[in-house]
Amino acid sequence: MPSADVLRWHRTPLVAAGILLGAGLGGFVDGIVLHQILQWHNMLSGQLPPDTLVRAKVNMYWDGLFHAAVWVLTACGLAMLWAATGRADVPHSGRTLVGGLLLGWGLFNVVEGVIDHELLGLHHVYEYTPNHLPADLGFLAFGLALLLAGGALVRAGRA
Amino acid sequence: MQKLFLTLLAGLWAAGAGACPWCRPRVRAGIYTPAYATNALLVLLPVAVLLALGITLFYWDKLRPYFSTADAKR
Repeated sequence: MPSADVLRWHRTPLVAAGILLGAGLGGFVDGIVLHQILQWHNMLSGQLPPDTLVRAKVNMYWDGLFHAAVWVLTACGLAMLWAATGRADVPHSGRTLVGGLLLGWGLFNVVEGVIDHELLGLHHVYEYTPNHLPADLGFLAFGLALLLAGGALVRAGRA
Repeated sequence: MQKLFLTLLAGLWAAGAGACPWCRPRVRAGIYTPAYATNALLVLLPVAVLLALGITLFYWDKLRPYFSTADAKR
């Protein structure tokens, strides 16, 4: 490792790679757990309730497009991680990477939660209730907790 | 054991599970509506925001001078 006076550490490439990887994997958690296993919602279930086979399959298509997009996000994060680890000025810090991963997952929940659930109403976290707010807020709160934990780990990685 | 073997053997000649041929045109009609581009844009919007954020952060060291007004004034 180069000494600090010779080379200044740059953590942002590692944090950025962690964020994209974490956001992609967080997207897969959402898609696999909430869409497919628990079947709480689908991508357009707020506008097109999956109450017939045809509507369920149309929602399945948009779920697939979402999964393809988070796959691209994950692949970009992996490419960034590869590029970052090849740089001498980027520290090999597990805490920074895990912090970035948690930041990414938290950012996914907050960005997706605000845009899709609250602003656009494409779907809500739990569709099978007249009051969508508690589950939506729980999803956002979990995202904020991940952001706090990730931020703390990234800060700890500086030490 | 023999029953299981015969059941599996019979499965080789059984008709495959129906893939709902009658609903496929309706599904395609439900996907490719005039609102297709809008739906695609809305579904991909959060991912696009996150991707832009990650790429900006990754190249932040190179991009910083373009966003730093203090440096531009010097």
